[in-house]
Amino acid sequence: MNIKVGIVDYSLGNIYAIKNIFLSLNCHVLVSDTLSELSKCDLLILPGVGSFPYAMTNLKKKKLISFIIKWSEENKFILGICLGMQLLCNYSHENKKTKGLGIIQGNIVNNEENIANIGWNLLHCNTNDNFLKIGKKDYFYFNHSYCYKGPINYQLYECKKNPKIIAIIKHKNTYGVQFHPEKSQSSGLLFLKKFLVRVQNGN
Amino acid sequence: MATKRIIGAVIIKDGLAVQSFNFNNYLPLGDPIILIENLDRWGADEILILDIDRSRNNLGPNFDFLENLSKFKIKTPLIYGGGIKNKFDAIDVVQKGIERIVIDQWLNSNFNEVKELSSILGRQAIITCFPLSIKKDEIKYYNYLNYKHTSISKSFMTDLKKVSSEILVIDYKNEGSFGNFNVDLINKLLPVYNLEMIAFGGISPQQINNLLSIKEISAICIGNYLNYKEHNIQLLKQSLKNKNIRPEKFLKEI
Repeated sequence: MNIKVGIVDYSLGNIYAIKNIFLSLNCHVLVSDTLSELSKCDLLILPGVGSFPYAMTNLKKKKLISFIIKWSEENKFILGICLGMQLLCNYSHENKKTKGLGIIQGNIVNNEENIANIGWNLLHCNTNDNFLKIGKKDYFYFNHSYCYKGPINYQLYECKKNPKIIAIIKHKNTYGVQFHPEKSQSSGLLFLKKFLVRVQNGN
Repeated sequence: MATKRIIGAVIIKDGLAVQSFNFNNYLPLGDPIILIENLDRWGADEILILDIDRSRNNLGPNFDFLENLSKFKIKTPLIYGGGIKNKFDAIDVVQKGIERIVIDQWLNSNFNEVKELSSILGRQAIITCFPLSIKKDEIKYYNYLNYKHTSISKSFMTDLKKVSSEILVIDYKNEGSFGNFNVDLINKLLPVYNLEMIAFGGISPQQINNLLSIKEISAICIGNYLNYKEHNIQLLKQSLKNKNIRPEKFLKEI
């Protein structure tokens, strides 16, 4: 695929894993914190693994916040993965109340019973806008202690098991996934392929 | 919540994957990347890489190995333990493509720094390692650097819950000894500490059924056994009665 993927380097996240999965999908991949370089990309990735306040501090230090918000407002593609998805929201209560990017309405709150959700889950679609067509037997890998709570119109998929965990959120062409597609084996790879087709088609 | 997990373990010593017996005797198996690729291809739920001589020899994490491993595009979540002794090590390990880290000796030397790391990476990314045994009916923590067994306090374990998501309970005495995992380790820990646990060390398929029926056991970690046969993880899953796991899936590419 002739897609330029820009992985936003905010000094956190499993960057090498994400870089290599997109390389295996024949994308051009750039890992950068430089606005002029990231501007040339078709898709921005906000990687996961880390805490919300630390990530927001780093985004602020690197002067990336207004750049990412503007990118979304211009209806360009963003995919936030795990922590990257949470950063897209208004606030998180992880460690302390911290302001997020505010691109997708909703907040990040502690998982029920304060238990980390670690492992594999099936997904259930919440909307008709289902270009992803995730299969009923497709499991995805989750690893998070906090989760999304927000308006239903931003929710695309949720986990099948209780308690309810929102798995995919979206606003315009900004998408957030609570799971790790890059570490969800064949299901994750298929998800990314479908997502890249959407990026390539431009809507 | 998510399904319980079957974790494939690869033990590395001096750069080679080894079959380990009690973390004391070792049989070389070869290139660890080949074993990791196999577990990835066979659909392990997570892969644990334990680089056991890094802390003992004060070598720090093996970044060259992790960077090389990332080129193999492993699509299974990776856990790495070995020589992590400060927050910079931990963040660098994650950036090399690792989702979760195992902390062992650092926990003993500087708990406050581990706490700080938890506020940076999130506690879901941190697993604490506990080689344990039972002596005179009491659980003892084994420090493999000074070969001493010490008691573990309730306050320490309560603090641990705040900084890590799971503890890796290693029956180090029975590790490599098929079917001899001492379930009393779990039974003694459970009523007191109420932590999410990963059981590791000499676990047979028969024991897995029993262990997975315990609410607080979130995963089973298996080393040597999985390497003997193609798709052994999927065959193992097929044989399990506990259905709160991701079902087996036989594919050329998982």
